[in-house]
Amino acid sequence: MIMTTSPPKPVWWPHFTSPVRSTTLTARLGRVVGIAVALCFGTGLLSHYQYHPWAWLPVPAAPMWGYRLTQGVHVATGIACIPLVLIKLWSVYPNLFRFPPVRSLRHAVERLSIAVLVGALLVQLVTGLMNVLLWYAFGWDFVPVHYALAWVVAGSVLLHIAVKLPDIRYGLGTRVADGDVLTEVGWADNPVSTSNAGPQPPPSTPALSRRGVLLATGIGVGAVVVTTVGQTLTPLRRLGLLAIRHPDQGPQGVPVNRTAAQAGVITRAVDPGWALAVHGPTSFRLELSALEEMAQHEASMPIACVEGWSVQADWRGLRLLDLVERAGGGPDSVVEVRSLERVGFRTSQITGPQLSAALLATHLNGERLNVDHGYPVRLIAPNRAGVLNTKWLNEIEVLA
Amino acid sequence: MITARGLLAVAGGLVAGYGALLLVTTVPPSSLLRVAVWMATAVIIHDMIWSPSLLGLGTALARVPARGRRFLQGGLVVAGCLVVVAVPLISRQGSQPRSTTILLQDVGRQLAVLLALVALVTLIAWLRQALRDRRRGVLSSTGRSEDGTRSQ
Repeated sequence: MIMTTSPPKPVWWPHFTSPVRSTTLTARLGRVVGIAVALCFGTGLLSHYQYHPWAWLPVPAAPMWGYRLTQGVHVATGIACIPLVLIKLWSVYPNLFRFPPVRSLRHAVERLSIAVLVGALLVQLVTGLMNVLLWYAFGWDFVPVHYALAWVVAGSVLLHIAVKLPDIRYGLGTRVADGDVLTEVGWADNPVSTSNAGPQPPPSTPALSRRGVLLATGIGVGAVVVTTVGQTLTPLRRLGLLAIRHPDQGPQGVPVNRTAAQAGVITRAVDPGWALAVHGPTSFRLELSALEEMAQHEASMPIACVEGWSVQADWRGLRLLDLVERAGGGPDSVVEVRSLERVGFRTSQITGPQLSAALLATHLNGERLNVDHGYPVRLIAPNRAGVLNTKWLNEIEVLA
Repeated sequence: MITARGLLAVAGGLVAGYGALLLVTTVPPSSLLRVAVWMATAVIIHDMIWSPSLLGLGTALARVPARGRRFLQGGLVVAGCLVVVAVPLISRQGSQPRSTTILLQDVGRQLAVLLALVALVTLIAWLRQALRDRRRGVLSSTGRSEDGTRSQ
């Protein structure tokens, strides 16, 4: 018996009686949340690497669908986590009402760490979805906060697993229907818990059973995934009833994140006097007609947006490397491309295998590039985050 | 298990600590304050509004006989999953020019279709159970008479 002597609860203290909640149920829900958070964190790190690669390890160009897959998984697991985490938290809600609320310093730290975990995870999921919806009401710079909070969440999850390991072992090692009922009374204080009174007959769940909760959660979260993932898993696009974007909706069959009007570039983009300036040891300028004449290379590459949509497309254009070599650079150069756009992601750097595979695209799916897709010319490279495929180019510089 | 817990705890502390370090070194203090307010608000909304509402819903459902209630509860869980994701989408509908190709579909209508589908499947599952019970001669019992518990 590990009964501890706690002061008696006041009569008005909440009391939970649902036989459905149990550590066996929570452990199973938590296992899925843990896997989803790990996938979301790992793919998030890969996405972060697209923006800040180490000089000695440039982002590879193969497989060309790499970023399409990892960012699709990132957004899909993040969205799936919203209902999943809410159900997982429902299953442990009575723990909030342990009595006494704080019994020791260690207990206080433990509770505080759970508050940090829940707060950080909820903010991460909510602002992640808001960012996908182009909804910046949170009022801070999304990327650095999302990146830093991701580490806070990942670490807090590991700490939480460490603290709860005995519960997890009990929960996963016991049949889901047999587990102790989870109420506001902890194991150690509960005279009828398995740890104090030995194995108990399974509690009766006349309405929805624990297995039923797991089944309904699986169907509900599965339905969310199936109805949203069509924005990147194109065979499922017809089922995308809740898809935020449809991969075939948009000019020339490709969605647009930022239009030419929003970027404020229309006039300069369609100016017949436009020319591409290429800076390097031997700088030169390329007029529109000369550029269009050189646009003879074709490639099928996906465009995969950080916001989770992606689609395979046929591109035609010039090889970026040809221009870089003419300017005195080579396959090992670091190249910066610049946009007519004055704010936002107006430049990006490209190097290594992506540089060798990159096109300066003038055509998309057989047509001259639409102005919302970056007319007169945009960058497109395999396995590259959509926003780094800079649109409305007017300058290229061989940096090194 | 003690070693595993220790290793996990140290790793977790280091990873979370790195996140905290990133926060204070890369995010301006005014934004940090906002993040902290959002985190606290998220916990408060979840613990003081959302969860008590679920408890209230569960208590209200306790009037439904248990054998039927399980289907209602299951259907509501599935519907809830769809609703929590769809509502932010609906609230953002029309917020961007059409040329940004975001949320071009009528999400409210799509959600209604999905919820109708969930209701239909739930009803079919319940009818199947009711028919089976009838064939076996099981009398439908009320939740309260079987035991006094409410389940949410």
